[in-house]
Amino acid sequence: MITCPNGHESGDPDWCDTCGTRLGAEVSAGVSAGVGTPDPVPAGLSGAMPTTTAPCPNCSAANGTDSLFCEDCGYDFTTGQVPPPRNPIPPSTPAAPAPAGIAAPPTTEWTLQVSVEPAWFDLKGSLADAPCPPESTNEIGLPTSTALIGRTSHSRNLHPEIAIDSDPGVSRRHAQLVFEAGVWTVADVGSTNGTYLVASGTEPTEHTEALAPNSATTIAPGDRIFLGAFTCLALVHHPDRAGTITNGA
Amino acid sequence: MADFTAQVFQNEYLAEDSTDAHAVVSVSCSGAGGAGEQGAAAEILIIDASGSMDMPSAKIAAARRAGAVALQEIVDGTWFAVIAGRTEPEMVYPPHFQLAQMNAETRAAAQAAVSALKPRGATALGWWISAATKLFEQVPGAQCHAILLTDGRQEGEAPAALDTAIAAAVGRFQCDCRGVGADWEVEQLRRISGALLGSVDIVADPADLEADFEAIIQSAMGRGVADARLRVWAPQGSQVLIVRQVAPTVEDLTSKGVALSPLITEFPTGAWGDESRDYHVAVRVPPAPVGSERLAARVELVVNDVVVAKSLVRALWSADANLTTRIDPSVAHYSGQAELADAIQQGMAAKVAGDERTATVLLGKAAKLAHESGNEATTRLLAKVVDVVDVEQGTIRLKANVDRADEMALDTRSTKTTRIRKQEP
Repeated sequence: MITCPNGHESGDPDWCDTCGTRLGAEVSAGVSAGVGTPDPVPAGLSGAMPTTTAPCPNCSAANGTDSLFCEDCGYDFTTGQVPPPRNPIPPSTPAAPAPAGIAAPPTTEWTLQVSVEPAWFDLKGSLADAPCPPESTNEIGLPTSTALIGRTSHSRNLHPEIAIDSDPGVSRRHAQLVFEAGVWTVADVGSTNGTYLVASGTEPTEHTEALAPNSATTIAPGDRIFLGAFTCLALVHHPDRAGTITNGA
Repeated sequence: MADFTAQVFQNEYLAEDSTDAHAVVSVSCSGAGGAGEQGAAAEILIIDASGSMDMPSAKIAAARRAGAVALQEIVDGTWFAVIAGRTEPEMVYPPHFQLAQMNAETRAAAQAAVSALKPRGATALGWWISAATKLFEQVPGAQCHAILLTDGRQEGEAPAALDTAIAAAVGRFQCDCRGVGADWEVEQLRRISGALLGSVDIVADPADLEADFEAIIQSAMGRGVADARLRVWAPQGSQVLIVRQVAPTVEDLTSKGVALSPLITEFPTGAWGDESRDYHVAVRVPPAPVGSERLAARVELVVNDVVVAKSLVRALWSADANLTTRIDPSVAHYSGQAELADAIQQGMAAKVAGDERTATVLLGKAAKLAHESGNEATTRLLAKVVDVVDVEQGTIRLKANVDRADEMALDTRSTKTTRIRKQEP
């Protein structure tokens, strides 16, 4: 599959299957000039959200099916016109490094393992409407005492500390982790598809209940947090790195 | 195995903010083989045997002869039936309501039955078509074709019965319609042939009927590709404005499209023999900045869900007026031919309605268009209905005493187009 400058997946290597844009080396200057740098689009997002919403083909944000423009990036659903280029917005707190994916192993006392969990996909995979990505585990540092879990949105200037951009079932603002008096709590902040806390040593089932929104629940050692279509989060303590956590985010 | 090729003629350059991409896609088929070579074929003759066919009796006599000739031309092995169109449809051959398989024996029996056809009753076009639809159901998957011959207008049944019957027959079989004499309604037969992907023509002189039937059956039997569709892909946010067959005749397919997906629509083209047809495709695409290039449409011919020919309609936005103002000669020619057909049909309708002013204006425009495009057949037909005063200006006078058959010939044949001399793309 090839991705066209407008962010559409195309099976035809010459012309985009969706918007007809000329693909490959022959893209003329006029085309690329009018095009921003869209977020990478995970494959097959359609149907990722409840039926009244559909993902934007450009930035994959969920939008109402009757929307004319993407609320996130301004993509025109009628014409497939992409929004004008955007100046990259610098992260609001330079102290907090851009999370997820970007190299440098975390050195903080607390880290979070973000993994693709096929067992969870078996339960919630319909949210992605795509095959489960290969199993993988990323470890990201938790340098601050509060951390938002969500997906990055440039236009809403939303840069969650724990950015799970690859899972279409994760809301932009999904849940919040808070470290207080030596324990971590998790609170769902009004996500679309819910946040699930699974006790240590147990596996999620179809009967696993989502956390009540906006109420903090203590995370016991070994507990795992499940969310989205295939994402599993687990806190890891590194006592040898004590003292690296800071307040504020 | 049939071999299809597609060629596209267009001016791909669009001015800034222009949105409409027009193209003529020329599709040719060779090596089609014959009907029934790939799967079964079925043929039904619907012959009007209402009371009026006896007035004059030359009509029923010609219908008997033409029916026999048609049966002669139907290839052995083809499923067939002959229906007599009366107040209700009656089986001529086989005697019971079913299809027979053509061989020397059934052919002789059917020809004998057709020769004994006796006229009586009324003209119930809708019922006749329904009967053919039911008969064709006995050979599911077969390539089905029918000839409908009538000399009168629908009567003896509710007018809506025709539309209901047509709707049930769409996609089941193709139907060529012939009107003998001058007492039938062009509009009714055109409604049938248009929906059932067939032709319509007048056979003013009953003596010409035999040759006409022979030609129809030969052409139907020469269509070895049972069903082909024109598949049109257009980009997101675009609108397919026109999909119209423009050669050899003008047939608007736009409203016949079946959406396969939000971006892909299929248009039925019926069976194909060794022939060439041209299609005018117009797509309104979202405008893009000057210098951008976009695929405006992908036009494919599809047989049994397999793409057999493919062409691309492109849109390239340019600031160069020398490039963008040029209209492709094929597109211009066929736009004119479609306009010509429209002017004749509306002009004749106005004439029938007694609106001579409108008729004069429209037929004048038709005379001008026919002259400019070198459509001599139409020019000849027009000359029987109007006196041309100034062909360059499109000034005409309606003739005082016009043979009704000449008017009907002009109307029915208005859709025949001339081809433009092929250019290299």
